[in-house]
Amino acid sequence: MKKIISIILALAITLSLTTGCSKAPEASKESETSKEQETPVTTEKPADLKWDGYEASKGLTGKITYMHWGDDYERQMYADLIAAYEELVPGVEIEQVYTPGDYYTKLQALAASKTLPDLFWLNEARVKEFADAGLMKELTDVLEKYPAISDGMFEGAMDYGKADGKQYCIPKDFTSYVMYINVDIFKEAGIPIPTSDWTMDDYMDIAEKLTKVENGRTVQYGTIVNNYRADWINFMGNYDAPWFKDGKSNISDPNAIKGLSVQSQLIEKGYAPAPGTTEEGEERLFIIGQVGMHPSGRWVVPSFLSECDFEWTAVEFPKGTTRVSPFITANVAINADSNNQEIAANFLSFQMSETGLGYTLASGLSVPLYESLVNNKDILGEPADAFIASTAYIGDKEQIDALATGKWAEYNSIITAELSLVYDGSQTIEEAAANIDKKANETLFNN
Amino acid sequence: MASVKTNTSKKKSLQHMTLQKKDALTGYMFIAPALISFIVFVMYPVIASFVISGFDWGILTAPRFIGIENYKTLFKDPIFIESLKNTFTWVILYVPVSILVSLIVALAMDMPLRGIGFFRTMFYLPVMTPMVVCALLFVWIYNKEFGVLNYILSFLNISPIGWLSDRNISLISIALMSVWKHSGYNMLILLSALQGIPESLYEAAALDGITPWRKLINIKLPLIMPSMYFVVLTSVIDAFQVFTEVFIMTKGGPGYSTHTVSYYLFANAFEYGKMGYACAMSVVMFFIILAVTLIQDRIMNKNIQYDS
Amino acid sequence: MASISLKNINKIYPGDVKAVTDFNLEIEDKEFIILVGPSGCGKSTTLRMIAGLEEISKGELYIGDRLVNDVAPKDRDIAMVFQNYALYPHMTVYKNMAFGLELRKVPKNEIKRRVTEAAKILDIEHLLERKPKALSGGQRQRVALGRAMVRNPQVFLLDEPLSNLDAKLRTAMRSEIIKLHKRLETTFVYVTHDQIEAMTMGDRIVVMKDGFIQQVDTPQNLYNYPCNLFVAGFIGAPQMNFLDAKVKVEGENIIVDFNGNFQFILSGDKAKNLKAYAGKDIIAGIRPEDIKIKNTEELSNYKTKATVEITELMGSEIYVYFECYGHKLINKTPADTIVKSDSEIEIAFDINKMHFFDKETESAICH
Repeated sequence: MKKIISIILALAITLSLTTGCSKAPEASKESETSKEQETPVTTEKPADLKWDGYEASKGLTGKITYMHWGDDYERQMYADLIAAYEELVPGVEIEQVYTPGDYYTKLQALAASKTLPDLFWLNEARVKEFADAGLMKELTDVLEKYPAISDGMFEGAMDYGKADGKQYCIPKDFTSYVMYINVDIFKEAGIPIPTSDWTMDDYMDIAEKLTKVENGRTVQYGTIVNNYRADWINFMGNYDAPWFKDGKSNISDPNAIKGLSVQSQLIEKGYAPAPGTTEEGEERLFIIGQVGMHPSGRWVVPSFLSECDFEWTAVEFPKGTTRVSPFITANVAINADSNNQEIAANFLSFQMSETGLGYTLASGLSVPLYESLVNNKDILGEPADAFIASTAYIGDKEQIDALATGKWAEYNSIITAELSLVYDGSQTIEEAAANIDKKANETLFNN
Repeated sequence: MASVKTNTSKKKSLQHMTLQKKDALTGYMFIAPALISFIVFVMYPVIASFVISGFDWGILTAPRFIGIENYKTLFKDPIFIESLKNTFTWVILYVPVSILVSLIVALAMDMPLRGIGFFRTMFYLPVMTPMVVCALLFVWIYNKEFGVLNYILSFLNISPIGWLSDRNISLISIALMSVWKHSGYNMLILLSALQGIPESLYEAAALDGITPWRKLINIKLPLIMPSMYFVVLTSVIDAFQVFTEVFIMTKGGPGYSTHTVSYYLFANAFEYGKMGYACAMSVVMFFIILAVTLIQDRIMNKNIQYDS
Repeated sequence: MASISLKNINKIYPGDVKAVTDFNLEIEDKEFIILVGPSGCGKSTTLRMIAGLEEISKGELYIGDRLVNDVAPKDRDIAMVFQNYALYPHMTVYKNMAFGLELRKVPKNEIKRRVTEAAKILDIEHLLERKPKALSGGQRQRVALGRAMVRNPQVFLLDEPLSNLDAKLRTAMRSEIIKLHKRLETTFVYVTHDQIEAMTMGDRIVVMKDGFIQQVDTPQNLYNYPCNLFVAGFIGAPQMNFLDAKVKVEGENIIVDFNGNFQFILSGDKAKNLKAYAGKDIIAGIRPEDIKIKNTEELSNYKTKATVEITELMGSEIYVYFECYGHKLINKTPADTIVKSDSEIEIAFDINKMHFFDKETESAICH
């Protein structure tokens, strides 16, 4: 019992500290202003707030529950979203179930006790598992009724809400992986900001040039290496590596090794510090201006905006032989046993509409999935270009295949563990790759 | 009418109870809150995990009985073996250091110094701070690039140490944090034991011509043994279940160097969707802790004077 | 074996709390001296200063010829028996007794000899392998004594050693300790709040109050010649009766007048001593056994009326509580006396055994 409480506490506090701490000051200010702006809009609902599903919403009555994670700022955004909907559809009441910590423990417990909320969020890695358990409504009819949800969505994005070829949930937005640039450091070194066609070799080269060593201590690193799934998917994927093939782990593939070697060489050569086992430290290094280039997702933007006292921007991830963008998202699913699937579907369509996304993307935490919105500066603020560019190559086939096994979490742990032993110098990339393939294929993908 | 009847018969039966039975009933009423919560929150989960360990079950899926299959897999699972090894290392590393520190601090805090209350509070402060906060604090202190610890060491010309990112020392680093975090609690127990030693014993010893060292060995230590017994026992049990520190500070890494059974158990239960497998681990841990506790009880209980 | 000399000993605690003031006492070698007084009178503090457990704030303490103010307790060659015995709970009786000797590196066989001998004297040989918790109060007391004995100290300090025992055991242990003192021929300093213990055990008694010595004397002298009202009241059970009185001089006669209710003419030494108090208030003290009841004996001139309130049969004697012109008095009389409650009786005072005290200074005028 004590342990469970401490786990809950742990998660609650980690989340609030990692996200809340870094974003809180600026974010809450924004939230206030955005609310002020939004409120008058709400009153003009007939003009602006009608969305494609408005007609279908007429006559809907009932109450549904909506469960999601996020920091306090996100809680507020979704509260606003719900309030706007409730005003448009007076017969419907939506209960917001905000679960900042230990989300999956709670979600699984609810599932086991058959009390899942009507709508709930699901990480892309969990889709298969929940689909197998029959917990999510298959969405074909919903998409027929509300075609706007899938129309105009970027190629490949919907795949992350699929299991066994069926659409079970909808990615609400996403973040691709880009390279954040400390412009001041580049200027000081006289290096031009990389453009879209830069390569891994350029990356390595610039990292070397930006690394400064004084008295045997590195005072400025060229770049950062994260032991995080988006990082290694990017490095492998950009070399077009079939790192997951025929239902098996295939990281020993030469191209995969090539990609991962870029990461390990950065550390080996001292251009990047060996990553800690938790990610906060790396982000901090960039914020305090000791790193030239920092690969990361959209979620760092609020804290960079509020905390970096230097000029910074984001460019696309360096190219290997090609480019992919791993997909990191939250999917929204409808409870298969819900008595109010009609309402749930209608609300989902509202959330995914331009109006709805206006509420939920305002923070700059993530990127919209629609062509029509990505270029809207009110919805996707600066830095935008790198993210817009990455929408051209959303998704990684290997990631989708691996996710489809439903064993992603454990596979992910194996990769992280073995790679960390590369980063601390205990083994080579080749050894790590062999270990990963062996372990994963023996224990996870053995059928 | 029926209810009236049952009422009277109830009343009667209460009146007919012997005094001893009434007393017993009162006693049970008093322990009921504790007993019920023990049954619901301890007994039931323990029994349930024994049962679940026989199933292939991932919370979401339908349970499938597989007998001792989970246990067979367990002892062939290199990560579990590694976790088990790490857990034992942790216990062997953490418990003696923790208790030694607690004891030393308790002995110091037992001195009749001015403002000693302030110091006692200071040493107890980490105990009152949530583990998560302490762990996060030390993540920063231990940070290789800009942690304060490496910063201090840089003045001694010691190059940066990856306290948490070097797999050879990460477990030790976490253990040190944990000692700092927890020793205040044991300190308090040992301190109250020390303060419970009657002054006249020290006086008698002073007249007997005792040296400070002999006073420690022959008077203080033997007399705080009951508390020490408690402290050792609970520390060992707690140490076997180390989780939060690892979860926050290293997520089991680098490699599997800080994977403990509790951490691996958590990952299996809530991340890998293998509740049955996780329960098998908890059952194994249950027996390991039970065995270790019984052995300790055998060794220590014999040598303890409870009445002072 | 040594004498102890306390010269102007003071104990002042922080905050100027005076626990003991100007304590002067010469304790002779092999003497059994008792410090007695109500709680808080400074008797234990004094003992602990002798032991070295409390620092002496002012004054000099000699054991034998040696000034020991700054000598550590263990080097004072003393042994102490504590009120709660202070036995080491984790050690056997043998080990408890042997521990001090071990610390002093006495050879093993010598330790064994001494412990066995002491155990034999104290009749605790059969308990040597037990731990204190398995012993009765009386047995623990013996072990505590034994632990002191084996050290062969020059001085035994005993701090209320019997107060944790029940009444019966206490009486028994009293005589045991007296015997022990005779046998060991060592100086004993014994602290108690119980005046019966003091009276029955000590060669001399030091009566203390509020940190001051009131009187130092043999039990007999303390009883017969208390130097002040406090000592008179403290020593003796039941307590001495006190009556307010006034001295009057009528011609040659020195008269003690008890609020006009009754009066006695004094003679001899008493008359002489009280002459100076003519017209002044004094306090008369009379011990319970020195009041006589009419129907038991022939009455003298010094008689008055009183009303019996209750009687207490104590076995061989009776305590009679009566009221005499507003004074509550106690009388102790043989058990065969017949006195009825609520009856009016005549009582007589043994004027020769009456004590007189100055009402202002409370010190004795004459006995």
